Amino acid sequence: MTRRIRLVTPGRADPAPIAELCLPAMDRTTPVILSRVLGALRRSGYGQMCDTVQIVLAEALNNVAEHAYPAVALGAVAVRVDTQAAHLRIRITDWGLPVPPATLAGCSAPDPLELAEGGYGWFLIRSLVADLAYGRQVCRNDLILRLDM
Amino acid sequence: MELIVTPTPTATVIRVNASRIDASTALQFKEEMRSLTAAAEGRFMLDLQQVDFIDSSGLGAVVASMKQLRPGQVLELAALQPVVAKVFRLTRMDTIFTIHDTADQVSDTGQG
Repeated sequence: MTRRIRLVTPGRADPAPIAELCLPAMDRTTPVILSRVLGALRRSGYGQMCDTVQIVLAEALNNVAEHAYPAVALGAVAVRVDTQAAHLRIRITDWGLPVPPATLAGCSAPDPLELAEGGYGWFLIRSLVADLAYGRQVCRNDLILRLDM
Repeated sequence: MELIVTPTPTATVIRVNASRIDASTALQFKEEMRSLTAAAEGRFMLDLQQVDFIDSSGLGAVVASMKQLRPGQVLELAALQPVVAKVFRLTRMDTIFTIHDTADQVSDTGQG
């Protein structure tokens, strides 16, 4: 029997990452992921992006930990950061439940007078990114955030 | 997460002795604030000098800490670091809380 093997070459579209890691998606690992990504940004000369990246990435990771894997003890989340033209691009991948369409459709700004105790996460992400894209493949979510540099 | 309480003539200062208030500590923060504010009266000053980062869960916990106050109690904030200030500004929660540059400044200026 002949088996044909096709060699997979790295995608030309993806430049070398500034940071690339995969860890369990848990509230307790979010600071570890943030610390590694921020450290890589500083070492690569993108230290000025750290404040914004910390806010949006923390919210995206919290969403994965809380909503993508609600019924299982542990799931993985992968983060890849690179640059694309004038943007810093962050891809957050998980293998959990899809993001509900209503969540992606957007939300109005929270009214501070309502004193809500939640619902600020996606608002913070949308406030700080240039654009975001979401892709669902079989058993896999990719959220791509692009930030102006 | 450790909250250090110092009564002063003008307010009960609650210093957050942690670098983050986030999803993994928000619930604990909220419960400790409930105990502390139940045990005293009047004005509380949350000193965030050491807090470098707050996420939406932490923000929700600070809001909850204010909502669980009794009549006659008030919660004010002090010493917001850059990322924390940014989160409050973006969500416009900076319009809800009285925010001071430092907790010391509050003691100096009395009820002002």
